[in-house]
Amino acid sequence: MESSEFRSKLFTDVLKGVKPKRVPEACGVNACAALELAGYDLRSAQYGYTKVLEAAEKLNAKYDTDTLIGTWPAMPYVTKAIGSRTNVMGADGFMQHPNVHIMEPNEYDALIRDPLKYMWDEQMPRAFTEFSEPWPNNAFALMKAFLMEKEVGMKMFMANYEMSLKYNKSTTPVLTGISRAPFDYLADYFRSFTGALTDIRRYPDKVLKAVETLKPLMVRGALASTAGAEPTREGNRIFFALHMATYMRPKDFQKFWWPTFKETIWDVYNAGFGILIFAEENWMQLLDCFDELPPLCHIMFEYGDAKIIKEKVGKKHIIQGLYPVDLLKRGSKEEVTAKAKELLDVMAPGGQYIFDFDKSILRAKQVNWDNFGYLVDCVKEYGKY
Amino acid sequence: MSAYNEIKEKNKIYSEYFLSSEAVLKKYDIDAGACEDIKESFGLVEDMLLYFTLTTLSN
Repeated sequence: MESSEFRSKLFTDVLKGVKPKRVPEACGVNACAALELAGYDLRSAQYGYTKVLEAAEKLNAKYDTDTLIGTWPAMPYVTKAIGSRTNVMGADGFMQHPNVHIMEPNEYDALIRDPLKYMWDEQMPRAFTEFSEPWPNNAFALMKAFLMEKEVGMKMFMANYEMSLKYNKSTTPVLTGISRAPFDYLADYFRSFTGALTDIRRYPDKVLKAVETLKPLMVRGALASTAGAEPTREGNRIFFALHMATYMRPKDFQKFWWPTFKETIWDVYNAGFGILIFAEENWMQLLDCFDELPPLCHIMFEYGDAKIIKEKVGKKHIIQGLYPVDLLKRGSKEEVTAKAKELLDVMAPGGQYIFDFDKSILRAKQVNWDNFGYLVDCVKEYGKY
Repeated sequence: MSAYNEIKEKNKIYSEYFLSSEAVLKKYDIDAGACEDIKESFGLVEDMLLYFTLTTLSN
């Protein structure tokens, strides 16, 4: 069996732009899928870490993946402590993100004048009901959330590290901090999906000024995630999950979305960090933009033409994703492995590729797990250089 | 100045919640000799607030 050290090096090689011994795989499996496979009810099992770790242990013992799977859960106890309206548990226990708007259009001026003051005085109490409680209850709520996240996060981190060594998984960190594209931040947490798209027609100047005002926060928030340690590009990657871009008209994308995102990425990169991007949905019409970003950005694609993505993006950047996870539900073993080989034939040459699904396995019933095992074994064998 | 600090300075955030050195001295009656230490502590608080602001909203 390959060692944890060997597998970690597969990833660090790719992240440095060096061709590894074989294509590493990072097939994403959500903790909810692991919990359901272990027979737990999501409505209660996510309140803590013991059941999550127990479920993850079973899954990682069974499948010889390169990375730990089914580990990081949502933290419903944190969202409960602050009374989140933006992240709530659905009837079946899976966490959902309702399309809520927190900011009214007539508040752009207040946001632009002093974004931090506006956010903590106005926006946070609306998004999180516990923050609207009188002092000191609001301060206690923030402290509870912070400490729970820190304590449980640290225990999960240590347990995951030990589990990685036990089951010979890579220990190369996936990410060390998060940030957002300024326009996505405005849409997702202030004006909502529909509100932001309406605003670019009704209040274009204010939207532009708002995203320019939010950009320093996106950079400083990312930098703060290292807690003062000197960042390295392979060891400290800041994660950007892109959301709104593909739902916008190209000229709106170029005007409202791209410029401040590009500036954010360059600043975070120039500060010494690596960049990890999840390009949600289909970016085929916007692929050329990635050429304007610093080299070796690690970009996870969901949909699109693998050959064109490899040609246009794969020479400068690291690509991950594109394998249709749905095939694991409906396909035979032969179909599942044939599709993997087809993708590897296109993406593997030259390196700078990590095998992964188009989207993670979120629920246990989403796939045929025998196929999952066949796929992982196939990538390890066929992906050798 | 390191690249990290240069980027930090370039993305300086102006807010009523972030006090200038002069305002710190005045508001807390800080001895001028201790100002640098105090500023460093306040800088850590500012970073923590920025980190909270960015990550809390993910919850």
